Amino acid sequence: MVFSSHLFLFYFLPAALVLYYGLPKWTRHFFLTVMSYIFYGWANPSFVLLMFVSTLIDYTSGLVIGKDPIEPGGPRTRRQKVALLTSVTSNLSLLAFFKYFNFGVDSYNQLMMGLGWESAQWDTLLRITLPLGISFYTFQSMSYAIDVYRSEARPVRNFIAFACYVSMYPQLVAGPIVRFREVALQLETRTHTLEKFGRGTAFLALGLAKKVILANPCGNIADQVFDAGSRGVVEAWYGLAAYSFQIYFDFSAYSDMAIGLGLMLGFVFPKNFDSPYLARSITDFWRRWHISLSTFLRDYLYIALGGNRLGTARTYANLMLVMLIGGLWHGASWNFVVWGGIHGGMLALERALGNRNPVRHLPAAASMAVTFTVASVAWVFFRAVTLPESLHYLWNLAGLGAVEPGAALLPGLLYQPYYLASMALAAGITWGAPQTWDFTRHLTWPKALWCATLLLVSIALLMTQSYNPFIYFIF
Amino acid sequence: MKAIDREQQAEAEIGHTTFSRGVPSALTALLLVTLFGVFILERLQPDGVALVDDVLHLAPSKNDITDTIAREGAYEGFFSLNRTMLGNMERLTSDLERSSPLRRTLLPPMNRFFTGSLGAQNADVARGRDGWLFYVPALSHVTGPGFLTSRAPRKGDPVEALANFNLDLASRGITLVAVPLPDKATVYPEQLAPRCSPTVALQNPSHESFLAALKGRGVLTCDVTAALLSAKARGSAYLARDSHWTPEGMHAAAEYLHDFLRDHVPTLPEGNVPYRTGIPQSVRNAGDLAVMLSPNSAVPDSLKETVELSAVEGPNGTPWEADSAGKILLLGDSFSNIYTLEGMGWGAHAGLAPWLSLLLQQPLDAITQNGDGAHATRLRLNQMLQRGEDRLAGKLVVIYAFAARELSLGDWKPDLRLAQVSSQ
Repeated sequence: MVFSSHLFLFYFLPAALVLYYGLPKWTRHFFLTVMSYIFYGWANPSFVLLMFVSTLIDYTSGLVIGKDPIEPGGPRTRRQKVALLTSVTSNLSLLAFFKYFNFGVDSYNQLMMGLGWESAQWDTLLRITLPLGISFYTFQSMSYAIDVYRSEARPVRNFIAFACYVSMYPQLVAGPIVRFREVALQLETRTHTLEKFGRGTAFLALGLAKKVILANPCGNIADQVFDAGSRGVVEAWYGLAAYSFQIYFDFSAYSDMAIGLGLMLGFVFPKNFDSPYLARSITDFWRRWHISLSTFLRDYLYIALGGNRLGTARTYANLMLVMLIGGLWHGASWNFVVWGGIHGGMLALERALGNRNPVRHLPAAASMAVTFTVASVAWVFFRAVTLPESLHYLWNLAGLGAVEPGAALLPGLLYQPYYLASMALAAGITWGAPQTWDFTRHLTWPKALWCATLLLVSIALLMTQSYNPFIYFIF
Repeated sequence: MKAIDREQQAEAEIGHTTFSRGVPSALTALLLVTLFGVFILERLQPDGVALVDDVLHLAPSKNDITDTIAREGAYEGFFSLNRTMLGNMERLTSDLERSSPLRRTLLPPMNRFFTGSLGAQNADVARGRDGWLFYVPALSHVTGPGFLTSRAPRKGDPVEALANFNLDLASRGITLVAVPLPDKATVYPEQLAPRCSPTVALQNPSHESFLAALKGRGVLTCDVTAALLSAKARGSAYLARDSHWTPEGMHAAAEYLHDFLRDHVPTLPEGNVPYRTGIPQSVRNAGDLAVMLSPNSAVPDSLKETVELSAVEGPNGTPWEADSAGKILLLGDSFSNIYTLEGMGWGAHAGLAPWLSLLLQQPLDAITQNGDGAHATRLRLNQMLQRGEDRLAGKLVVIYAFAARELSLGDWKPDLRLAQVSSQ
C-alpha cells in the first residue's frame, strides 16, 4: 500500500483516523499498531511475522538491558552486553539474510565462474523475497537497544507502545528513520491540535503533489532512457536529470507525507531532506539528503569506528567504509557499493582538500551545478541494473559507446510538451522554490489555498495515472 | 549548553508554526471532507464493491487453512495460504480503483487534457506527428536492448522455442515458417521522431542475429519488413491510430509470404480452388490506440479511420472461413485477426488468412488469438491435440505469425513441446 493510492487515501486513512480519534485514548497505540500491521501486511501478509519477531527481540533486549543499572558512561554488565549483541546481531542477521542472500550467492557463483571453478558454484533454487521496508525498521528497532544501552533512552515496559513505535505506518516502509529516544517522549505524551493537523495536511498535500506532478512524469522519462538499449548524449543527460529529479521528489515526497501523517496523529518527525540539490559540496549534500540515514550512520557507525579522532588516514577510511555500507544498505548489488564508494571518495577528497578545494571558491550557482552533476553521475549506478549497464550509460553520457539505430526514436518519445513542462517545473521547484518545512512554517490563506489546490489536483491526477512507483520501497 | 538534536528541533519548529486565522480548521476540514466524501460516495453507489464482505473474506477461512495444511504440509501450506490472501488483497485493491465513480468521472477529461492539450502519453500509447499513435510496449522493443541479450524482459529464449517447435513439426513432416511482424515504429519511425529516415526500417539490435540463429537451427523465417516498406512507399502500410497494418500493408505482406512459400516449400501443391474477392467496402472504425488513449469515453469521429477492403469469397460465393482440410495452418495473433474477425470492428473475411487463401488458391486452416503471440496459439494447438482434435493432420506447412515485440516482451515457453494426439 502506498500513500499515493486510492486504497490508502480513501479507505485506510479515514479508517485509521476514525479509530484513532474515535476510540478511547488508552486504546490509541493498540489500534495504531493494528492499523500499521495491516498497512505493512498489505504488501505481503507473511512479512508481518518478521516484523513482529524483530520487535519482540528488541523489546526483550531493552528490558534485559534495563534490568541492571545503566548510568551514562558507566560500566555495563555482561547481561547488558549480551542483550545489546542479541539485538544488533538479530536485526543485522535478518537484514543480511533477506536482503543479501541472493546477492551473496550470485556474487560467489560469479567469482567461482571467473576463477574457472564452476564445480564450486552453489546451485540453489532458494530465492529470498525482500520484505518491504526491512532496511528501515531493522535500523530503527536496533537504535532502540543501542539508545537504551547508551542510557540515552529508558527501556519501555509497554510492549504495545514499543510495537507502535517500530510499526507506525507513516514512517514504517520508507522512513524517516526515527530515533526511539525522542519518539519515546511522544509515545508517553504528545499533543493533538488543529494546528498540528493543519500543518500535517499541508505536508501531505505538498508531498502528494511532488510525487504525482513531478516525480512520476520524471520517472517515466528516466525509465524510457535507462531501459533503452542505448541513447545519444543529449538523451543520456536528459534522462539522468530526469532520474535525479525523480529520486529526489519521490523520496522527499514520501518523507513529507510521512511527516504530515505523523502530525495528524500528534507525532513530530524530523526533517529528512533540506534542498539537497542546493548543496555546494558533497559534504553539504549529505547534510541535506536522507538526513535520518546519514545521521544514523554518523551516530551509530562513524563515531563508533572512531570518527575523525584517530588520525587523518583513519578518518578517510571511516568515511569510505561508512559510505560503502550506506551504499550497500540501499541495495544488494555491486552498483550500490560503487555508488557508496563514489560518495565516500568525494567526502574524503573534500576533507583532504579543505580550503584548497577549487569548488569552494566558485560562485554559489557554479558550485551547486558541480555538486548536482557529481551527485547525478553517481545516480547512474543507483538506477542502472548492472555494472556493465552503468558503465555503458556513462559512456553514452560522454558521447561515446555504440548507439543503436532504435535510439533515434527516443527524442520523439522524450521531448513531448508534457515531459518538457514537467522537467522545467521540476527544475524550477528544485532550485527556486522553498522546501516544505520552510513553506509551511507560516501558513497564510494564499498558501493554504495553494495546498488545497495541489491536494485536489494531485488526487485527480492520481485517479488517472497508471505509473506510480515508489523508488525507496525497494530498500 | 547541550545542543538540541534534530528531533527536538522539529518539535520546537512545529510548536512555532504560525497560521492565518482559520487556516488550520480550513485545511483540516478540506482533508476530512475529501477523504470521507469520496469514501461515502463510493459506498453509496449501487454497483460498488461489496467492501465488508470482501474484507471479511480476505483471510482464508478455518476450513481453507486446515485443508491446505493437510494437503501441502505446514511449511508449503503457509506460503500457499499467504499467496491466497495476497491475491485477495490485490483483487480488492484493483476492484476498488476500477469501480471508483471519481475515477470514472475524472478519467475522460483528464485524459483529454493531458493527452490532447499537453501531448502526454500514457502507459500504452505515445503520440507521434500528424495525429499518429504508437503502442508503447512495441516501441520498447525497437528502442530497447537486444532481445537476445540478458537485458530483455522476455521469458524464455525465442530461438530455442521456435527451433524446438520446428523439430516437433518436422517429425510429422510439416515445415514451419516463422513470420515476425514488425512494429509500426519499425516501418514509420519518422512519424514519431522526424529525424528518422522514412525509407529505413528501425529494428531491435538483435534482429539480424535472430534471423541468423533461426537459419542456423534450420527454421525458415519470412521477414516481411521490406514488403511493408514497399507498401508504405506506394501509399500506406499501417493505420495511423491503430497498432496494426492497413489492408494494403497486409496484402503486401501476404504477397511476400505467398512468394516465400512458393520458393521455399516446393512440396506445397498448386492451388485450384477459385477464391475471389467480393464487392469492395468501406469500414470506419476507431483504432485500438485511439481507444487506449481515451478509456471510458467514446473516440470522437474525427479520430476514426476508414479502410477499403474486399472480403474473400469461396467458390460458392460464401464468405471465407478457415478450413481444417487445408494444407496450411496459420497460427496468428491480432495481426491475423484484423479484417478477418468481425469482433475487431474492421470488417470480416478480408485479413491475412483469407488473403493467403486467395493468393494460393487453396483453403487455409487457422488458429488465431489476440495477444500473447509468443505462446498462445501453440498452447491452443496443444490443447486441441490433447483433446484428440488433430489440427495438424494433412498439413504441409505451419505459418507462425507473431508481433515482433513478442521477441522482447513475450513468454516463449521453450519447454512447450508439441503434444501427442490423444486417442480418446
